[in-house]
Formats: sequence, structure tokens, C-alpha cells
Amino acid sequence: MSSIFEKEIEYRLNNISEDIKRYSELYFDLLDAVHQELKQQNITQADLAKSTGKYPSEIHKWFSGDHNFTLKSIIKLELALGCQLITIAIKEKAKASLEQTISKQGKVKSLNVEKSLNVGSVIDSNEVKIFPINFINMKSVSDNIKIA
Amino acid sequence: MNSFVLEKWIVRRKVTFFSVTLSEDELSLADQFYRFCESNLVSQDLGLLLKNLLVEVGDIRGANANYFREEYDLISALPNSKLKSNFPVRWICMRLDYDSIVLFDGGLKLSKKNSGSPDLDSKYQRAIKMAKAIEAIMLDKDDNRIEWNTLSIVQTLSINVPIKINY
Repeated sequence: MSSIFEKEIEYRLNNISEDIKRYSELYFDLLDAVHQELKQQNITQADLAKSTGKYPSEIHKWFSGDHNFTLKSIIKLELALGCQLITIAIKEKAKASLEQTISKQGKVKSLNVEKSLNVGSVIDSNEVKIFPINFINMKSVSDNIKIA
Repeated sequence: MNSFVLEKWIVRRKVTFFSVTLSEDELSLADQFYRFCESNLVSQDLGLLLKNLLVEVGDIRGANANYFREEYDLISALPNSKLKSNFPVRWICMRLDYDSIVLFDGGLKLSKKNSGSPDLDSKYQRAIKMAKAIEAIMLDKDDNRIEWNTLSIVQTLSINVPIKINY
């Protein structure tokens, strides 16, 4: 016998607000990204507690869903892991507009933001994408801006 | 002697969720807990709990061990989902494999330690007993009440008829 609430649960799932859906997706994406980095770098949660100056119980809380990640806590994680966990995707349109504006100002002849943003990331919409990018391999945006 | 029946609760794309029904109950523990959540959780938090469990774990990512809180031997709790409610909720479960989870009931965690939430703690203790009984059947090669399809890379738990288990 399956759940007697199956239809009701399905109805609820189909009516979850977009912000809750996005919160859930981002939370799991972040969790996957952090665990992938921990595994690759052979770091335990106890090591992470040391390097972030947090109590192990607090780190445990970060990974158990009791913690609502703030920018501060994400940055702490990024610094401890030495990798970027979050990138902000920019629409092509917005980038083109930026290029045009800078070009009009006559200060910059060429702006190659694309290259630096593409390191390990997928940028196809105006969304925040999460997965690790090693700082070592990442060129800063300023490296790609040529000043006239 | 107490007994319970183990059977499928909800089947999603990547994970089959099982639950148990105690001999004296009509509803499975997962259904009882769903009803509890409906009455005690803010609607957004219930939505998030279901989205995390059935969509992110059940449909998209599978029952990766990283998503569960290890509470006791054999027993875990699902990723919490507290946005608006006053207390975090714990849904007790037994992660059998990447594609199989047994859901028990759960409750609100009212203090840091489980012992500070007597109702939840007693449910953990009962779930541990049942989990041990389920594990014993799975480990017993002569007991074919629970079958594993070991041909696939990920083992598939197969229960075609409800299984009565004493504990």
C-alpha cells in the first residue's frame, strides 16, 4: 500500500512557491559543491572547523540544513576551501550593454569579461550558479580589461 | 511482541521510499508524520521539507549520504527545512542505499540535545529497534522476505508484498 496522502503531497509539490523551490535547489547545489571540494582536497569537517575558526557543531549545522547560509558564511567556506563556490551569471545582453557603455566613455577599448567568467562555470541565464572554481586557475576580470 | 509491516510509501524517479506500519496502527509512520507536519509546520516549511525529500533527493540527486544527519547507528534524519517555524523538524529515516530509504516518523527538536525533546527521543529509540530488525532480515541470507537486485550497479530493494517484522 502506498501513502494515503500521495495525491495531496503531489498537489503540494506542484504548488510550492518559486522562492522555496529555488532555495532548495541552491541549498543542495551548495552542499554538493562543498562536499565535492572536501573530498577532492581530502579535508574533513573537523579540518574545516579549524580553518574557519568555528566549532565543529556549527560546521555540522551548516551541512545539515539547520543553517541559512549568509554571504559571510559562504565566503568563509570559499576561503577555507580555496575555491569559489558561487558565481553570478550575467546575461549576454547585460554584458553587451556594459561593453557599449565603457566603450562610449572612451576609457576601455576592449573588454573580455567572457573569458574570466567562463572558467568552470555555465552562464546561460540571469542566475546564480554554484560549483567550485579554483582560485589558482581563475584570472581576475581586471586581467582581461585593456586600458587604452 | 511488537510487530510492524514494511512496505512502499512513495516511489520517485531515483528513490523508493518505504515506511512501516505498526500492528496497532492504521496509518504508516510516514503518513502519521506527514499529518503531524501539516498541523505543526508553517506551510512554507512543509513545502520545503517535501521539495527537499521528494524532488531533490527522490527525483534528482538520489539518497546521497551527505544529505543526511547521522543521529544514531543505522538511523539518520533528513535535511532539515526550517525557514519560518520556531523549531527544526526531524524526520527519522534509515538510508538503505542510494535508491532506498525507510521513513519512520519524527518530531520537533525543542533543544540542542535529542534528550531535551522527549517525544522525539522516544521515536528515535523505537526507530532504532525497527531499523535493527530490518537490517537483521537483510543480512540473513536464508531470509528472502527482502530481496536485493544486485545485478544493477546500485542495489535495488524489492518488496512486492508488505513484510511483517517482529521487533
